[in-house]
Amino acid sequence: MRLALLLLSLVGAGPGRRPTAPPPPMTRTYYVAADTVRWNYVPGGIDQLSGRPYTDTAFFPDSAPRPVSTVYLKILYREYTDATFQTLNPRPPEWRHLGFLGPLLRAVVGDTIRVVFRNNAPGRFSMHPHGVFYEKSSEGAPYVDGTSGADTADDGVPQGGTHVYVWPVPLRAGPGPNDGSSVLWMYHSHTDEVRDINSGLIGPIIITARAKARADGTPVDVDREIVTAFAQVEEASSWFADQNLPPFAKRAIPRSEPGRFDGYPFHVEFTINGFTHGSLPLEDLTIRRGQRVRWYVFASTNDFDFHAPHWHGNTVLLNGMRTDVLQLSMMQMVVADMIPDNVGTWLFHCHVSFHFTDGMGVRYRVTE
Amino acid sequence: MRAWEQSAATVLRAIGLESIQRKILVFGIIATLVPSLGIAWVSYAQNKRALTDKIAQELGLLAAPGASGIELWRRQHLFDLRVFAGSELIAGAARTGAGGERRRADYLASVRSHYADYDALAVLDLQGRVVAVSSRSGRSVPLPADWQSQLRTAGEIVGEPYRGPDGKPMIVLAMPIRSASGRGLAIGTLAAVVDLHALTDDIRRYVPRDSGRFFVTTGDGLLIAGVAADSLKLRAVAKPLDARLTPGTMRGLTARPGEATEYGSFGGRRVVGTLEPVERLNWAVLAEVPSSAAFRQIAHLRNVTLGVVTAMFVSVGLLAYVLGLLIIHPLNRLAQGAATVAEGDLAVDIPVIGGGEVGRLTTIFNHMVDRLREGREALERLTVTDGLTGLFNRRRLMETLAVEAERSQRGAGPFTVLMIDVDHFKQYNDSHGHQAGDTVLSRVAEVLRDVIRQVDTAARYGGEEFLLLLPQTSAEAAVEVAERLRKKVSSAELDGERVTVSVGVAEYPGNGDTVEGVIAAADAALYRAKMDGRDRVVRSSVRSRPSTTARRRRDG
Repeated sequence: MRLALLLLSLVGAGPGRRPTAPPPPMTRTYYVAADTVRWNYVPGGIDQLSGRPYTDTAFFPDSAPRPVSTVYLKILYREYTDATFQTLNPRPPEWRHLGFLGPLLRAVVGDTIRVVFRNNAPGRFSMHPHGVFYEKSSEGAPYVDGTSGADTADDGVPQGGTHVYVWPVPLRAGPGPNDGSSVLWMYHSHTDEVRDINSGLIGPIIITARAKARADGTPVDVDREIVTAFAQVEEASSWFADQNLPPFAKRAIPRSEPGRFDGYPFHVEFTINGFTHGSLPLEDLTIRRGQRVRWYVFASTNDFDFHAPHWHGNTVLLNGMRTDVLQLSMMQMVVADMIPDNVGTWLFHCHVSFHFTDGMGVRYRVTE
Repeated sequence: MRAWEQSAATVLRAIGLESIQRKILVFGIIATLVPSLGIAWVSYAQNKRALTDKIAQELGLLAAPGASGIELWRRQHLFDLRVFAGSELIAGAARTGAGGERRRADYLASVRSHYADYDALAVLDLQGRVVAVSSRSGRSVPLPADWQSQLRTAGEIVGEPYRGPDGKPMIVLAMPIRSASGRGLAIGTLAAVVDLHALTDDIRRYVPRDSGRFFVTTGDGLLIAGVAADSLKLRAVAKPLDARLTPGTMRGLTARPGEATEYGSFGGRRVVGTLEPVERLNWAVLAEVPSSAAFRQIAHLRNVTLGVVTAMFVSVGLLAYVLGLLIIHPLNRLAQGAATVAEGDLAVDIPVIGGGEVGRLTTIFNHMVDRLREGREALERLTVTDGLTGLFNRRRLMETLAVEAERSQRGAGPFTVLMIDVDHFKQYNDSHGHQAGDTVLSRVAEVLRDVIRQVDTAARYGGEEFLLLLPQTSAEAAVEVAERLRKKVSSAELDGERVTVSVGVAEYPGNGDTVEGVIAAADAALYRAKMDGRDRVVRSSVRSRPSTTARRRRDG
């Protein structure tokens, strides 16, 4: 297998950049656990866009402002190496930018995605995918659907429990006629959808057309893939709100900072992959000039999760049309291709008025 | 029966309640006061209890969240410390203890500037050495001597309230600094001095209405913070860490948390309040309102009740007094009447006003007096008349003569006395019997009554002798009367037999200037008529001696 991949890659690197032979249909198994993790929205404590130390503050209608940590207890999907769930599968450098998103689940049309899901977090959680095929036993959502018994084991896996989700990837889960070589889907916990997603249980799926897939499933016509999720995280809806929010929030609902016009209190985090105020490490979003870069961009689930991702410095092609601003509404998934020609460190942020000032901005770097 | 009446009467006399009027008055007042005051008292007690329950409920609605608020304050400030300690700058400072000193100091200073209730912040390394500090007063954090063992066992330090350098109440808090990465091992300590005066802002929302006050105290009643409507005044009477509730008050309050208790509060004010403990801090909160304000409603009710009772008291007293008068006046009249009767005067007639017992008693009394009067008159009649003839008897005659002699002496003119004797009465009596003799006497008496005027007096002088007194009549006129009488007697027949009388006429004072004299003169004239052959009238020829008359007049 290793040898075959090596050969394939050698062929792929050959003259004319001819597409390699598509891999045979396979079952791709992922070991994913829901873990309780301390997540820092501003790692390093510095607002990387202003260069100043960043502190967060809770403002209350009738008492003095209180300090708020940028560190929150969250429940995140994390990938393990095997079914023992002892060893985390380390993220390769090119995927470190995923931040608090779950591991990328990749497949080629015709494959089957098999997820061994372990819930290590307090509560019941599930994995509900978009786009791919699933039977009732792999839908990961409890509602009155006429199922019972084993078909409901997927609805919410208790703490310490494990469930295997099987998601075949038929043609209709792959790129359509106007899509490129790959499409973006996502998965998230759907046991208590709002709380689960705001707690952090969401991740990406990329499906590549069989004819355009490399052996590792990546699209042959793309050199670098980047997934970004624009999420207005409502920490008050998190399962850990009690621990995360300052105790005074029990007495009074925090309000937005006096003089600010957004109307949002401190616990609404305007994030890209769980980073705010430019804190996504620049080295994790570094691309080279001339690279075929595919940006997979999606929005999260909360009301007013409308976003307008905007690249400074370079433009993208969106379904064959040129732009540098996307339009996202809730849970919308968009694929945009960029061939950067402008070397430098550039802003990538949401263009919705105060979303950026509230932290929804990161930097990407284009090198020679 | 008589025994208890006797003892009741003794008691009534002892308390000065013998008069009916006083009894009525006292009964009226007691009958008014006892039920009305009884009902008022029951109503007052019930209302006070209901109001106390309501106050307890209202104060509980402040004290309970107030206590939770203080607990929240504790958790919030420990949370604050965790947030500060979570900063990578602090974690770095504690871990390395070297380098970036200025940045750490800047951070602590920035934290203090943002969160004004932190008076001092210090970072200590695992050995307990202060590696960074920022303080308003320039002093570091006065950690308790055993702070390291406290921190190990409890995971946090919450000190006792103490007085800071500028007199403000302060408290020391401390939390371990844990490494942001790895297993979160303690790498140092973040200690802080928190200004408890800032609590006043947090507790303002729990102050009861109606000039209420809200206090935070230690478990033994030492004041930590307080808020009142009249805060300025409060500051004078209740200085934090100075004012203290008495142990007794505190015991009473802590024994009944959540209930309304009346006690003397800070500044000596009498209040109704509710205590709620703040368990984790061994503190307590007190929500209180002045008793006067709390019980204003029932004080008003009490005043209204007292007003009504007083009005009832006065009007019933007045009514009882008037009723008493209505009973007492007739009784007094009866008593007066009885007294008059007792003195012998039977000319008493008490007016009967209204009915009822006293009215009936008055009627009966009047009736009784009437009867008495009638009896006396009958008795009097018997004592002045002659039983056989119905004429006045000799005693009455003598009284009348004495009166007439007085009148005559006062100038009423002379009067005449006619002495009449039935002729041969003794033989008649012997031959016809006493009964027939009595009939003759009655017949003569009838004739006497027929011939005399209203003003004249006819009397049976004795045996078959009669005497006529003719006031203001001269002897000449009297002789005519005597002739008329003699003829009338002799013209009548008694059982076929003729009866005659002889008459002696004497004038006063011409024939005698004393009663005895004039009678003697008439008697002497009668004797002469008998001597002259009976059935005739003889006028006295006696002349009274002027000297004697004059002397008698002088004597009166």
